[in-house]
Amino acid sequence: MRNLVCTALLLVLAAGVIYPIYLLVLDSFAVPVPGGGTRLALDHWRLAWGVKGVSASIVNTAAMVGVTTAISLPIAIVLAWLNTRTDVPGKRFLTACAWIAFFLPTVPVVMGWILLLDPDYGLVNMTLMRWFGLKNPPFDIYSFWGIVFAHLLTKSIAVKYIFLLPAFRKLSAALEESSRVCGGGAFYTLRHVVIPVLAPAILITSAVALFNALESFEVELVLGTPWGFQVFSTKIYTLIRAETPDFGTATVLALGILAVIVPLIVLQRIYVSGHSYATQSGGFRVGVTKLRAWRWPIFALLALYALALTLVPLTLLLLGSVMRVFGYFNVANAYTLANWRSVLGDQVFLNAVSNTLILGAGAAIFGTVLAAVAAYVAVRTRYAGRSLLDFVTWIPACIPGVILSLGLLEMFLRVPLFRPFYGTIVILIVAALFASATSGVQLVKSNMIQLGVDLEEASTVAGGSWFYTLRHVVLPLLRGTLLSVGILTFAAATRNVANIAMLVSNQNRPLAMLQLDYVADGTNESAAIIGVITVLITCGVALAAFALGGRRLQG
Amino acid sequence: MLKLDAVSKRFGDSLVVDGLSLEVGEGEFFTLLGSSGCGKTTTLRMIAGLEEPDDGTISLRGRVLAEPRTRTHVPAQRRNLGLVFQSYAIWPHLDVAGNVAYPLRVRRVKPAEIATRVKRVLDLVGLAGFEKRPATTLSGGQQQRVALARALVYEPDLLLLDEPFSNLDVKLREQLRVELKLLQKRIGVTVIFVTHDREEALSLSDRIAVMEAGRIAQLGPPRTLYEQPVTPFVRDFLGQSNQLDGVVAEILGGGQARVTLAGGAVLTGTMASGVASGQNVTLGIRPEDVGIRKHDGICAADEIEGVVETFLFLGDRAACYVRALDRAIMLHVPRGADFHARDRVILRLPAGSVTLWP
Repeated sequence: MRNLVCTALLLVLAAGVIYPIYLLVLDSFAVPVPGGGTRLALDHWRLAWGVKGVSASIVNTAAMVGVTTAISLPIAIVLAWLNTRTDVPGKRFLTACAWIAFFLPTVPVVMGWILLLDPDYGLVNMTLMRWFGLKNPPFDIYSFWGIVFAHLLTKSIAVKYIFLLPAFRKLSAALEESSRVCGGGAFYTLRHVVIPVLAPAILITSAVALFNALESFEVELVLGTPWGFQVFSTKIYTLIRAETPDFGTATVLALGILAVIVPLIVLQRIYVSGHSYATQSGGFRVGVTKLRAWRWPIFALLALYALALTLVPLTLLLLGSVMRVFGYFNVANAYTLANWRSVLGDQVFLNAVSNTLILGAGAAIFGTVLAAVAAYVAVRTRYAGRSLLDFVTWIPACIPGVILSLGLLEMFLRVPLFRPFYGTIVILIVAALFASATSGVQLVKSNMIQLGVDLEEASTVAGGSWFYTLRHVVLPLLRGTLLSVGILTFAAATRNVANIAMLVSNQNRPLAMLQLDYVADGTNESAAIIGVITVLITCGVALAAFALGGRRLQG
Repeated sequence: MLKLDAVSKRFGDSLVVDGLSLEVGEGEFFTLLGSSGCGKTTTLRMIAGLEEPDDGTISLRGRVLAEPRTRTHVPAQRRNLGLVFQSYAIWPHLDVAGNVAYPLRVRRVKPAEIATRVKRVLDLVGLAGFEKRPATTLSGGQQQRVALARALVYEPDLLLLDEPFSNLDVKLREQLRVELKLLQKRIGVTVIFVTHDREEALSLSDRIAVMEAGRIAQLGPPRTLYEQPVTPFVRDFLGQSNQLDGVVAEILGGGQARVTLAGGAVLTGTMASGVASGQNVTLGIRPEDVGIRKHDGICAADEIEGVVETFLFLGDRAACYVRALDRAIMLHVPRGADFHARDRVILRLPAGSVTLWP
């Protein structure tokens, strides 16, 4: 019974994660033969690089990921250090804002910044032009640096900061204090002790951040498309969404990116396994560096950043949603509620709301069950395939959502058993479920390891079967963790676009996708309204998560 | 050379160091001794510059290091002190030479000179040839030596040691204790040593300050503290002590008094402050000062009768528990001594060893 359940689980995961990738590989070699059928050949691999925009999209991806990481990583390190090692005020506030930024859907935030930095009507541009008599707008958000800026003020820094905090907190203060006593100043100590000692943690964070940056899709779609800038994910999307979808080129591009990512993962694993420093905390309380005269100026900077992450773009988004024409602040009767009335009464919108809620709830329920069982098998059983299972649950975190989504699309189109589900909400739930599998399984696993095996063995000795113990001991003890997993999965499913972009049709379209479609159509007022609503949904969920599980995580 | 004047420190509501004043001389081995939470480590951290005092003055060779009243606070990195942490705080990303060279690199010493000084100090602590060993592969004792070398390599004005032996096993601890004492005598560095281990404190120190609740309970050379404690806390902290009850019968000269015990025995002892004629007092005497012999029918002055309750063989000596005057008295006897339970014995409590407490 037990092995049967484990094997079934492994098969489900493999079907959802490995099989789509297998299909991608197969498709990239499948060349249509005149008169129907296909043969295996290298045609796609030869021709793909010549397709307009493909090579450029790879260069653009590398530039975007490289520049964003190079800027955000040092900032995140300094922020984590300020939080854990200095007396700067407002630490909790900063951490809370970082979490909110982590939860916020990206497109609404970007829309808020468009209102400020659009070259035609952006408030900041207009104001600076008036004040300094400039002829041209100083900023253009529809540019490479505009996209970098959007990344820095959405997740890029926030994610790294959140990841680095625990590592900084665990670092024994004595290591830094001994450097100071030896004559090293605060900055010298940061550079010569803190960063080298934390190098493994920083590297893991960078790796996670790299995969995060490769996930990036919405920002480039909104800010890059108007001037023909594409990264690989938006390129795959346009190839598939074209009048005649070009699956051959899309699969080659997707696999080309994977071919770069996989060695990176391997290298990172090798490095980390060779450099795991034990940085146990050294008994005494964590020392605090006094910033003295710098205290309030640094706080002002942090507060500015925290507000730029949250309040500034959201306020503007709200303003944008009640504007007669999005972005035009100075026309007569600039504000109106007519947009809200028409959107809220629109059947398309109402369908999208119900799709979103079904998608979120479905992904949360099935995702939590999957995470619980997969974590249990990996941690507590001697099932022969458990390391394979663990490996499979890691894959989704390392593969950009657009690529997984492309693989799932192929699977649902080609496998007769799954074909009826194409265009239904089920396909989106499956996509969202697997996209969140890694974080969910890891979260449950770490909690389960802490739990200790005695409690379960006690139940077994008392006569409980494996399933009885799982149901009556393990699951009740993990209730809080499982709730957090559910909430995180719900938020991710309702917010993320990249994982589902290719699988959406008119029937199953959720809010996040509807908003992107409105932006593409230029109906920004409606897009802003949907942005406000998705923000409300995710913020509500984020607050619930923070209240339930965040106590340990906040600063 | 080091002077603390009315130094106080509070964490939140609790006063951890309470108006502490002390002076340490050049080349002295000075120990702060106390149980956990008595403020000894906080005092050391204030000297090092890792904590700021809330009140008072800390000065070194006439240079004020910290004085909240004048908003003076020299940061730790500019005090030129050496500190060995309880956890050693060996940087895991550097090898032995890298750890030891760190303070010299901070001071921009020339690479050639760094190499010679690192080699010299590693020789000094007995780690010659360990330069390239990764710090994470060292044993506890080796880490401790690296930490010591790192603290000595830049010839600090003052060497601060925060419970440096507490993470080592007993044998290694005793060995390193001897080495530290020899090393300190050889290089003549002034040491402030923090410990909760009375044996360490008594064996290593020129002077000890016993701390209790953020204040100094008694300050003096080890022998004075052990033989003439001024408070019951110091007496009990520095070693075991037997107690008997009595009434002061007569004040003698030289701080001595004669005491009558229940049952009529009369003993003489040294008075602590606040003892007056006719007062009920507690008599204290350390186990090794109590003499014992088989009952021979004679019970002189300074002697009481008792019965052996139990006799414990401890290896290098034996402990004998005797019931006398309705109290259990513990004393040490040589391991060959021949006493058994229910033996009737005479205990001798010499005047010089008995202390009288109000």
